[in-house]
Amino acid sequence: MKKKFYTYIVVLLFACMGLNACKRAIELDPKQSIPSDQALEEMGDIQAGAFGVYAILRDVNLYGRDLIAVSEALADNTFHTNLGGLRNEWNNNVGAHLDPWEAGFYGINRANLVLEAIEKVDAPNSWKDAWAGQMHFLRALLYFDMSKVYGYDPTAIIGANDRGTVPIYEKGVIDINDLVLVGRAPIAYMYDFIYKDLDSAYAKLSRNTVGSAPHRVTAEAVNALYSRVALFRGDYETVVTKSNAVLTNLGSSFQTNASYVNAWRAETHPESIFEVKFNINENVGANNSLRATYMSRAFVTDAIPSTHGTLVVGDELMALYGPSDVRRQLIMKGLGNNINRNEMTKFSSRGGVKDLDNVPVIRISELYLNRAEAYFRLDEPGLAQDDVNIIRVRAGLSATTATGSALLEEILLQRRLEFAFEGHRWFDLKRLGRNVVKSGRTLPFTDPRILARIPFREVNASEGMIRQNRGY
Amino acid sequence: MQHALNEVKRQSKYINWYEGGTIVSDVPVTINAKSISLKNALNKVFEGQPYTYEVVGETIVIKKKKEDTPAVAGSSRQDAVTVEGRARLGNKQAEASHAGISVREKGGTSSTITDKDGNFKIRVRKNATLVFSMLGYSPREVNTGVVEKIDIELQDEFSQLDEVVVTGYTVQERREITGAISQIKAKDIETMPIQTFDQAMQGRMAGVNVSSATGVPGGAVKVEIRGQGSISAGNDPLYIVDGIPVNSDDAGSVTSSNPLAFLNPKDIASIEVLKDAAAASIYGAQAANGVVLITTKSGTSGPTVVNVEYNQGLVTPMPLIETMNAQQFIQGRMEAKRNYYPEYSHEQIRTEVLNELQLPTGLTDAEILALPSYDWQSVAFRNGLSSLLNVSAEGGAQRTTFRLAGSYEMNRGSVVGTKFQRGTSSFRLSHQVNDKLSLRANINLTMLRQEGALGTLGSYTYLSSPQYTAPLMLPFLPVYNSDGSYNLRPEGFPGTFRYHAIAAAEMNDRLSKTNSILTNLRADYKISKTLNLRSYVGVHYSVNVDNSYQDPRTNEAQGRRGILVLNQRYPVSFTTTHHLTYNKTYARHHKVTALGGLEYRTYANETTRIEAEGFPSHRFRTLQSASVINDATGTWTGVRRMGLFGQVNYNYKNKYMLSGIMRYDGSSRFGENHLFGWFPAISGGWDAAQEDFMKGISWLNQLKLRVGYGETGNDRIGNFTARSLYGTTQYDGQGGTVPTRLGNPDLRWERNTTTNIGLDYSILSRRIYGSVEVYRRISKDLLLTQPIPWASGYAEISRNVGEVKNEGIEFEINVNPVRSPRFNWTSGFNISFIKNRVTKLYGDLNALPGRASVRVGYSLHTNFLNQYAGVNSATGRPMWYAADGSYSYRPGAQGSESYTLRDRGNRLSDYYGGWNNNFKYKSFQLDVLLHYDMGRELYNNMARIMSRKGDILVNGAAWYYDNRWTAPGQITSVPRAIDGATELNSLASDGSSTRFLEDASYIRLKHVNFSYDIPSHFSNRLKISNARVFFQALNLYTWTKWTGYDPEFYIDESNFDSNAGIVPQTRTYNLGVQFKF
Repeated sequence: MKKKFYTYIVVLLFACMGLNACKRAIELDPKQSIPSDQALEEMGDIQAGAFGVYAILRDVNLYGRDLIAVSEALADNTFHTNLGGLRNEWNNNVGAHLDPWEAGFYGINRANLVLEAIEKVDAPNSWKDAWAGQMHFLRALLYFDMSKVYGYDPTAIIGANDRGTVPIYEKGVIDINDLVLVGRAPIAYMYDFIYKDLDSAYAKLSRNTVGSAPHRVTAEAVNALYSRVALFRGDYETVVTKSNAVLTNLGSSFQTNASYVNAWRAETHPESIFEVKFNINENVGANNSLRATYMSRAFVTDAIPSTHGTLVVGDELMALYGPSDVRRQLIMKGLGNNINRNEMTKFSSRGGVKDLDNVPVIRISELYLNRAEAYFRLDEPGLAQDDVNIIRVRAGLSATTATGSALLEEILLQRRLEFAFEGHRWFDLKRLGRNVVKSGRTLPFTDPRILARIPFREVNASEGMIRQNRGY
Repeated sequence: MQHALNEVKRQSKYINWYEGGTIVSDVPVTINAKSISLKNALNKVFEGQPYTYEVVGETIVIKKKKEDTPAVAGSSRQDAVTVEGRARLGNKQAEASHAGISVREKGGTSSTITDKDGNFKIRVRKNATLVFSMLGYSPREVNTGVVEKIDIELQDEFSQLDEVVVTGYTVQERREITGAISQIKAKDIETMPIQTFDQAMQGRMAGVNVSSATGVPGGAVKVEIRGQGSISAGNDPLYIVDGIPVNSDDAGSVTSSNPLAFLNPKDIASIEVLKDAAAASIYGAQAANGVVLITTKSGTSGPTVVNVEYNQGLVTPMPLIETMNAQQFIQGRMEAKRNYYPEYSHEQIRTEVLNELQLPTGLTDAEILALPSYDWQSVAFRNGLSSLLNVSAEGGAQRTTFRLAGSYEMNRGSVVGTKFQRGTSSFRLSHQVNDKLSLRANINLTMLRQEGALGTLGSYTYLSSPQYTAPLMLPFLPVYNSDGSYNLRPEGFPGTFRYHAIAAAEMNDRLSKTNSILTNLRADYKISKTLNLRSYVGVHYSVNVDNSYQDPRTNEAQGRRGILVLNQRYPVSFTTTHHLTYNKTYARHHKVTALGGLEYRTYANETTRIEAEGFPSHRFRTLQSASVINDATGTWTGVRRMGLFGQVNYNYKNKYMLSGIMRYDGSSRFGENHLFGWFPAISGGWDAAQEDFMKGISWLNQLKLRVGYGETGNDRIGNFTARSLYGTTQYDGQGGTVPTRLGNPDLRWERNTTTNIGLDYSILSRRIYGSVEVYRRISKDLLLTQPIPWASGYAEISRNVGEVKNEGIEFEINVNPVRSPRFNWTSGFNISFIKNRVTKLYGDLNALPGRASVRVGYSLHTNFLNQYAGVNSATGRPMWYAADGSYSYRPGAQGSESYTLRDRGNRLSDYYGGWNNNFKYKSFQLDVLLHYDMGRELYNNMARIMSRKGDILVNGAAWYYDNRWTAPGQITSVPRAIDGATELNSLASDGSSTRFLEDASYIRLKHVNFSYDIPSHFSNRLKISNARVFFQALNLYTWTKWTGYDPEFYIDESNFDSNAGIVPQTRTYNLGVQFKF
């Protein structure tokens, strides 16, 4: 009996130790990731986190392709060759639209987490300013881009269809308990928020900047984006102020007629104030790249076609380029299936490797056209003419003397010609409340398809906080 | 005598048991057998007893002697002796004829046959082994030096009641089993010309549904045991080879490959499938999808037997699909343009179309009519070849046995560019160190080389995949130039498919190479007469290199001057198991076996991947010749598992059986709040035929009712899914970090509870036998990724919330309608019905967001699609049903308010099974297997792609062209041709809708084997003891309504989400020979 008792004790002891040992025996940590709550603790971590925010801009739904190419497919500059995708987008079919929601909010959460971590980290204030300033800019850029896609712009609103922009999150999430559900921010509120972020960005970056333009955010980039946001808001004085500030500092990067074409052959566009950098291992590939979307060649000099060439220059747009317009030189006949089509060569594997292109977000020419439009609205036609003529003359056209609505149309035409295939046209038509006129069919501004569909899953997961846009 | 036998059992590792009933003997046994060999001890025990015995594997079979046997001439000092004895056929009346049993000296030349009483006399060498064989009966071997008086009975091949079945960590007699277990044996599968053993299970086991994912030789195979219980964590069973779990998820990434291809099917002795929790819960958290136990062949003592098999085969493609010719395509294309641009003139359209097709715009109508058409399909789908050489040697002395085997197999698939090559060598050694300790080692080495073309990995619609593009190439494009070389155009072909995929498949390298080692060591130590310790250590290690080289001469790679992607993986798993078994029979009839042990397992997988481009020429194909390294990356992942397990079985006279299992299992995958869990099971059995009141019914051999209930887990939840993690990225050459996952510390295994009721029956001396099983498998706490708003910065969080129910009936019957020495026919039929239902998702959710096919109250993989309403006969435009039931050109998208659900069928099988026949006539043998899989409604994406009739610049099936709408009033299901395949402001006519749902049910003449044993008097002259020639065929004929190439493929959301471009199954014909020395 006694023996049995001891055996029992020994077995029990062994089992207890065994179970503890069991837990230890199966403990295993991942090697390619780290726990979230230890990810942003030191200065180095903050920098890495900040580059993580930049990285989202390369996403195909953002500057990787869609903000540039899908905008063009939706608008009236392009013709679809039936090679590759985006046919539904080009047809303006219901639901075929830009969709920056997921990537945009990933970027915003990353920026929020870095901004919060900067507050806590032990570092010099100047260093904190330099990094926080970049985060404020990137957050403003992402909110602005999403707001334009899902909501109306302050200058052209159809009240019956207006259900606001996108939800605003200012706090980062690393734990499920951090998540709160927020409704869509009204248009004015959203623009206030973007202004606030840009103001903070400017204040901090004007005190201290690390990294240089155009692949990192600088104070000039903040002003340049400010000028665009203000134009979309109809805040024309601010457009002028901010444009002036940029042009004073960076006016010299404005390309001449002689250097114009070559500027589009350089890896980094010399006019870029802020440009998204793509390194060789970040290539978005033939299926999604801007090169493949716009061109059948892999490189401008190729004699044999590569892939796709989905969206080519529409005949109507082609006719708008005068014979002496230097910008016409960026358009060439395609190869293979596109041998009879006109292809835009702004994205032509400029990075030296097939499908590798940096993507300009804002370049200096835009500031002249922003300011021209603002001057026109502020009833300064002379100044407006001066600005639009800078673009016209550079292109090899004569200076315009148009006034009144003809002048506005001229400014908008130059905007269309200058930024063709750079993703501006759709948003310009939208903020002006204009119809999208395509060969044989028109998408009226009153159509709900002007606004993108909010992903169904977001509406479903929001527990009623997020209202879908009309028509979906 | 009982005591003596128990003593033998105690001192040896053998499990002994008796053939029917108890041993009653009045002859006392007194032996002193402390240190003599088992056989000598047994000889002493059986001396003068009314029983005889035989050692089969690790089992001692004891049989009642039917009558006294005449004394055989004692051992002689001469080399040659005369042996006399009796051999009879089992289950025969005493007066029946026992004539014609062949008696042959193993490895020698002597042979004779028995007379009608079964008596024989033969002159053989001393200590020779005699082989007794008879058609329809299992052959037996008896060593004349061990058994002094030969009196044996041959059991017919259906005597499976007494067979031993591997049940996980141990073996059990079939009649003792209380769980649901299916088994196939080497003889069932070794005549099939297949590359991986999982294919062999198809149609042969009730409740086990096997479908090949593709027809790539050695390609992926999906094995589903009792339905799909998991929504997202995977439904693959656990595979265990000789006690060592193998890595079944490390497949290649350039062509479809099967992680189980490292095992040569010819080395397998048996496959057991544990289907219900009562059988499988001993494997705890990994057993929810069932467990497949593979036992490889081992040597038997006796003279060395060498077995050589060689076969040569032909691999042919399935029937091809008729496509449009050049004229039809051009006509369709012009119609499409005219319908989209009604304002264009005929000339304008003609010019535009010819321009698009890069044909001279000046072509006259007569010239268009004269354009030739080329058949790309018949070039892409070719006849392949296969050959196989298999050599094995086995033998050994009493203490040491061995088996050595080697094989080489080559299979050139039916799609250009696909090839499978495998060399294996396996070595098994067993050694009895002393009465207490025995050791066993098992080593399998495999070299595997698989070649594929682009797109053969799965249903990926690559522009230069031969099997996908061949039927879609514009028909006026020649495959070859006039000189016979490939028609390569650097500028590309007109149309969507611009590359010469067939040429590319031959020029590119898409190689998946795997070298693997599976090794295990086993030691058995007899602690006491009832207690035995068994320890395993096993390693499964492989090096897998995927090499994808795109030749710079191909259109795809010419711009980058060649692209090389190297992907290397090093998965290693280590397993060690130690368990005690306890065997004791109390008070004669109360047999208790108990088992308790511990298992520890680790798995790690490291990968590196390099992408490079810029090669000087196509002759340079390795990394050092690349001028640019585009990308280099590496990953690491791993898991650790530990389990404590125990099992107790109780058996009373084979009449009542009870079994209980408990496992305490943990895994590093689980959240910190649930690292370990319990997995219990209990089951019982009652064989009514053993009851006294049933003993009178002589035709009833077995009527066993089994009831089992238990719980198992599915731990396939992702290695670090439970953690909140930050991963890495980069920008502008700077390293960056990003949050990648929101964790869940409560995450744990998916829980399966299974209730199983089974009935085993055997009647008329096992002329008819089989089983019926009814089960309910409820899978709870299913891992679901619950979408959280992207606005949070994440896509999802993993939770254990869903529930799926599988209910089914399985029916298995085996009959032996003709049983005679000359002609024997056996037939086995099985059918499994299964019903699957999703019973719960998270929250109040009715359908999984983004996956309409997962919906409460419906089967998994239910088809929810826009309902096609046919063609508006006035306009030729396709219509669908809108939410209110009206016709619409543009019904609301799924998820939108205007969308209403319509389900039509589901992708899962309603019932499936097989019918297996074996005919033996003299030396001829014929095996025929029919396999059927019914009730799968699948979306035929390839038909969708081939439904364009000039709508876009791809060729399509001629049927759609012939049936297209062309004139008002025409009633047809095929809309008019329209440029871009989409009418303005309407859903695409080739968009996903019920239009392309098809019934993929099929019945297939899966396997035919015809063999002829060359008469022994002929083969013996060549010193060959056994020679056989055979013909084998696979997938001979298929009955189906499916309009694609072949209805057998597996669709899974993660790997194969469409059948487009999938490599169809092939037909294989083999001729071969087999010799035994």
